[in-house]
Amino acid sequence: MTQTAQTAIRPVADVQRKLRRAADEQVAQVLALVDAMPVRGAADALIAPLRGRLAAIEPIRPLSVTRLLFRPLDPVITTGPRWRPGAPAVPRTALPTIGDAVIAQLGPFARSIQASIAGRDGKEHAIVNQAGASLWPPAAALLAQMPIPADWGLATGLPNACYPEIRTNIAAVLHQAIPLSQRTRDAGGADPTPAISAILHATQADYPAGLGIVLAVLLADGVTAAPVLLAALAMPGIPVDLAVEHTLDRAQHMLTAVLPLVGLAAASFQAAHIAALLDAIEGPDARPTLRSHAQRIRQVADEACRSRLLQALDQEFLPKLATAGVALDDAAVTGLESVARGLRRLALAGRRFGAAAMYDKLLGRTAAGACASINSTLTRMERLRLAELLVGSDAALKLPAV
Amino acid sequence: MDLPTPIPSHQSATFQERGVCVPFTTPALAGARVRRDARHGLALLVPNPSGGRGIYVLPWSGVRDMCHPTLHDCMLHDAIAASKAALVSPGVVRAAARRVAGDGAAGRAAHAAAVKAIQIESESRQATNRYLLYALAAQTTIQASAAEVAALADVVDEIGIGPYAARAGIPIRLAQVEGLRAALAAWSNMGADEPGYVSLVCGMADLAIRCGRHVIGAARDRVADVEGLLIDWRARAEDVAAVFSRPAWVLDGWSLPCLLWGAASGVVAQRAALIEIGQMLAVLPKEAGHWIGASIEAEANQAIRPMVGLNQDWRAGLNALDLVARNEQFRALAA
Repeated sequence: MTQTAQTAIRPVADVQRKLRRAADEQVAQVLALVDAMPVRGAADALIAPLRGRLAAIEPIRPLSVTRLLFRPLDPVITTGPRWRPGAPAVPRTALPTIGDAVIAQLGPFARSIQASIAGRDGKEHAIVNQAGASLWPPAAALLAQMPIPADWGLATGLPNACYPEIRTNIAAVLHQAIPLSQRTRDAGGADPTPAISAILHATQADYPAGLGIVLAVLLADGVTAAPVLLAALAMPGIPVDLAVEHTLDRAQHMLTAVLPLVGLAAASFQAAHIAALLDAIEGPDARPTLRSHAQRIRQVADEACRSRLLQALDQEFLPKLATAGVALDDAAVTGLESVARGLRRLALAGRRFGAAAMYDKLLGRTAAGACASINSTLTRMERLRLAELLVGSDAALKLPAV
Repeated sequence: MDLPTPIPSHQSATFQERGVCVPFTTPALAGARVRRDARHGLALLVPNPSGGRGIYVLPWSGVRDMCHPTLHDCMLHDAIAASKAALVSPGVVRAAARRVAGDGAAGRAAHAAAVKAIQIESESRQATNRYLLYALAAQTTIQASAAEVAALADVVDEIGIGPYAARAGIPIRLAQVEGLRAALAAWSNMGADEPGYVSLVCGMADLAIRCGRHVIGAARDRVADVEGLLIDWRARAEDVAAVFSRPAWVLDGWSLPCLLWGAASGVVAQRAALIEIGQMLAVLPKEAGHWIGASIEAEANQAIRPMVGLNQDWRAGLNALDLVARNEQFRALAA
C-alpha cells in the first residue's frame, strides 16, 4: 500500500474507532448525517462496521425505494464475507445491484412509490406497510424472472453461480412480505400459528427453494419462535435445521459482537428475544442436535449478559451515582433512573440464560450501595426509587438503609 | 387484528360499590378501584386478569400475592387507607395521589406536577371563596362567617364557577372525555378497523358525558341561587356536598384513558391503546340513572376484559418495567 493510500485510510479508521465507543444516540446522529449526504461515497465505509449494531438499535432512517424493497429481509441480511451459498440469508453486497435492477424495470411505478414515501422514515410502520404492500408483490414477480444483472460480478464480488439462489431467496420473502409484515405488527395477542402456517404453505407452493429463508425471517422474531417452530415441524419438507442453525449463528454474532457495544435498552431487547428463541428451540419437541447447539448459545448468552451488566455498572451507573455528591438536576436524576431501569431489564433477560442468583446478588449489592450513599444529594425517596428500579419494591423495602 | 370479545359486565348498584379508580403505576393494577371494606378497612377491585367475567375483590395483602406493586402504589394504598374520611371518594383518592407524588414516589416530574396541581387547586379555592362572598353580598342579607363560606367553597370549587371555572378539575375532565370521544369517532371514520370496538368505548364515553353534563348543570344551578345554597348548607351540609361530588364520581376513571389515547401515535399504538382503555373502563352504576332521572342499564352492560394470549407473559418481565415508567409519566401529566 502506498503512503498516500495509508494517509487517506487513517482518518477513516480513527473515526470508525471513535464510533465504536460512541453511545447509541451518537451513532444515530452520525448515521443521520451520512444518510443526508447527496453522495455518500467514502462515508459508507464509516458506517460499514456498525451494521450489526444498527440492526440492534434500529435508528430512524429515511425511507427510500431500495430500503423499502428489502425491508422484509432485514433479519436475514448478512455481510458479504459471512454469507455462504445454501445459507438462509442474503449478502448485503448483492442488494444495491438487485435493487437498482428491480427499480429500473419497475420504471414509473418505482418513481411513484418514491414520491409517496418522500420525507418519510422507516419507523413510520403504517407508511412502510402501505407503500410496501404496493411494491413487494410486483417486485417479487419481476425478480423471479429477472436475468442476472450485467455488472453482477464486478458490483457484488460474488460468482455468477450464486445469483439464482440469492434471487430466489429474495423473491420468496417478498412474495410473503405482506403477511409477514402484518404478523409482526399484530399486537392483539391472538394465536399466531394459523398466520404462520399460511405463510409457510404459500411459500411451499410457490417458492419451495425459499422455505428456509422465509422460516429464518419468521424465527428472527424470537418472541414468536415457539409457534413458528411448531408450525414448521408439522410440515414435511421444510429445512428447519438449516434455518434454526442460521438463526442461532446470528444470535451468537449478536451476543458476542454487538451486545458489548449497544446501549442497555437495545441489549436487553436483543437478549430477551434470544432467550425466547432458545426456550423455543429447547422445547419438548426439540431435535437433539438443535438442542445441543441452543445450549451452547445459552452459555454464550449468559456470559455476554453478565459481562454487559458489569460493564454498564462500571461505566454508566456507578460513575453517574458518584456525581450525586453534588446537586443533580432533573435530567441527571432521570438519566440515573434510566440506567437503573436498563440494568434491571438486562438482568431480567439475562437470568433466563441461567445465573439468576448472580444477577440478584449483583443488583442487590448495587441497590444497597445506592440506598446507603450518605454523600448523596439525592433524597431518601430518590435513593429508594433507585433501589426499587434495581431490585424491585419488595427487596428495596428490606434494604438495611431504608 | 383479533381483539378480545366484549363480554357482559357487572353493573354495580351504587358508586360506592363500584369503588374509586386509583392511579396505580403497577401495570397489573390498571383500572383497579378501591372502596371501604368492613373486614379489611380497604378493598381493591381488580379486573379479572385472566380475561374472564367479574372482578377480584381483594385486601392489599391479596394484591401483593397477585403482583409486585411499586413503592408508589404501596404508599398510595397506605395513604388512602389512612384517610379519616368515612367513605373513599374520588376527592380522597386524588388528594392521597398528589401527596404521594409530591413525596417523589413517582419520580421528579410527577413530584413537580403534584406540587403545581396543589398550588392551582389552592388558588382556585380562594377564587371560588371570593366569588361566593361577592355573590352572597350581592344577593342576600344573610350573614355568613368566613369559615362557613370557605368550607362551602371547598365543596363547590371543583365543578368550576366564576372566573376560575375553566381551570377547575371537573370541566377539564369533562372536556377531556369529550375530546377522547371525538378523537375515537374521527379515528373510526378514517377507516381504522374494529368500528364495533370503538363504538363500545364511545358508548361508554357518551353515557359519562351525558350524565356528567347533567350533574354538573344541576350543581351549578344550586350555585345560581346562592342564598338557598347557604341555607341548605347550614341544614344539610352532607346532602349538599353529595350533590357537588356527583360529577367527580361520574367522570371517575376517565383520566387514564384520555392520557393513553393522547400518547398513542400511529394506528398500531392506537389499537393497543383502545384495547387498554376498554379493559380499564367500568360501567356506570345504576345510581347514575337515579341522578339523571333515566335508566342506563341497557346502555352500560358491556365491557372489554383483558385476554392473555398464548406465550404472553402478563404479570412480569421487560414490558412491565416500561409500563411502570409510562404510568409514572402519566402521573406527571395528570396530577
